Amino acid sequence: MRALLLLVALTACTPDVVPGAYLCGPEASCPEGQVCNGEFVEEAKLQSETCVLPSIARPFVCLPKIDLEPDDTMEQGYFIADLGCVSNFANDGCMLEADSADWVTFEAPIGCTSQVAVQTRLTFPIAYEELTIELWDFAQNVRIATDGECKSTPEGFLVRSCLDFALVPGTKYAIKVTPNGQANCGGDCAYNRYTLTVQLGPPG
Amino acid sequence: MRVAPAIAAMVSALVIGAPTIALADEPAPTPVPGIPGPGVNVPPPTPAPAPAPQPAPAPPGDTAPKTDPAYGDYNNPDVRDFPAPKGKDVIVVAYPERSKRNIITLGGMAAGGLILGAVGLYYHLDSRSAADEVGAHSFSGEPWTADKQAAYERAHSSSVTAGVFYGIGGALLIATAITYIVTEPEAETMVIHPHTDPKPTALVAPIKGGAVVGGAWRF
Repeated sequence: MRALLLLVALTACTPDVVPGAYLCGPEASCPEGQVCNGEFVEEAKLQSETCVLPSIARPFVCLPKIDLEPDDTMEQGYFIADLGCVSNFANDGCMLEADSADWVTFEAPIGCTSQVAVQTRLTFPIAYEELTIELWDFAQNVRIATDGECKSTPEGFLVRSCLDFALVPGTKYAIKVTPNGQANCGGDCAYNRYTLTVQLGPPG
Repeated sequence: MRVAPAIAAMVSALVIGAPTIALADEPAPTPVPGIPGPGVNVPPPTPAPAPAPQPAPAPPGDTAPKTDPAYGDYNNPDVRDFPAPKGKDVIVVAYPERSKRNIITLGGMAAGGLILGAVGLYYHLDSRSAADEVGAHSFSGEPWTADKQAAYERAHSSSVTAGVFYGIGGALLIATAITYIVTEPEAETMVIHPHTDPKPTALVAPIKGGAVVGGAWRF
């Protein structure tokens, strides 16, 4: 009888998940009784995009490394100047709820010894709305490439999309970062933070 | 053990019956010339006593009374009317076996309880496995994915299922134990009234030239 009671007691084996043990999953999903924390708080040692108790969770806050707003149109896009044959640009941006797109523009360098290609990488947390990148021809206002899956995958809680394209020297291009409407919690998490890197160099 | 009454009967026959008959029927011993007997004055030999007169045959139609010759002319011809000596009562308690149907019922209930318990254990272990899969006590660096959510829900549902099976199986085992107790056949008590005193009886019988001493007892 005692063994039976012990077994019944052991039956209550609900998973024990302490707050802060997991990063937020798609659509800000968390274990039962926890919610996704939206802000990094150093003094509280509270990481963003981690599952914590609702009582200490903070709403989503995004502080860009460089504030490029307004950049919602191609014409308003931040121009990356002085890109050489081999060069790099990176920025931590924010796709807020009201944002429809963030734009950056650049011009393909002239006089390089070999053909130059652009390698665009976009990384963002899995917790919020998915983002995509597109390459546009600035002068013709035409989309000429879209992103795809990368050969290498980043850490599990991040999503990376890649866009590689061979450039025509002297041509002005625009890169559009935009939400695709997926995994946005039905509109409740239609925002995200991201890191955009633009690297010029030989193709491949 | 059963030999004892027989031996006792034999001893009784030897000690009681034989001398009695011998003293009544044997003719007087003939003295050997020149060798006197146990007495100093040996009486002269006497003629053998005349045979006892035979009783007259019963007239036809008249029933002869049942008379045990061992009791002579005792008034009551039926020896069974003697008050039997009594010893202490012997109480025997017998426990009858369970019926086959009862055994099958109990076995079925117990087996059912065990099977349900085993099923509960399966879900219990499944629940533990799923719980261990997603349980974390420190920062894991992993996102909460759909797979983990499924494992979390499986742990919970298996836990509930295990509890249900444990409950039903345990109740069945308890019911089996109760049924086992309730349906236990009642013990049958038998009282044996001994007709003889178990105490040994000393017997002394005179015989020609002395006496025979013996005893009879039961065990």
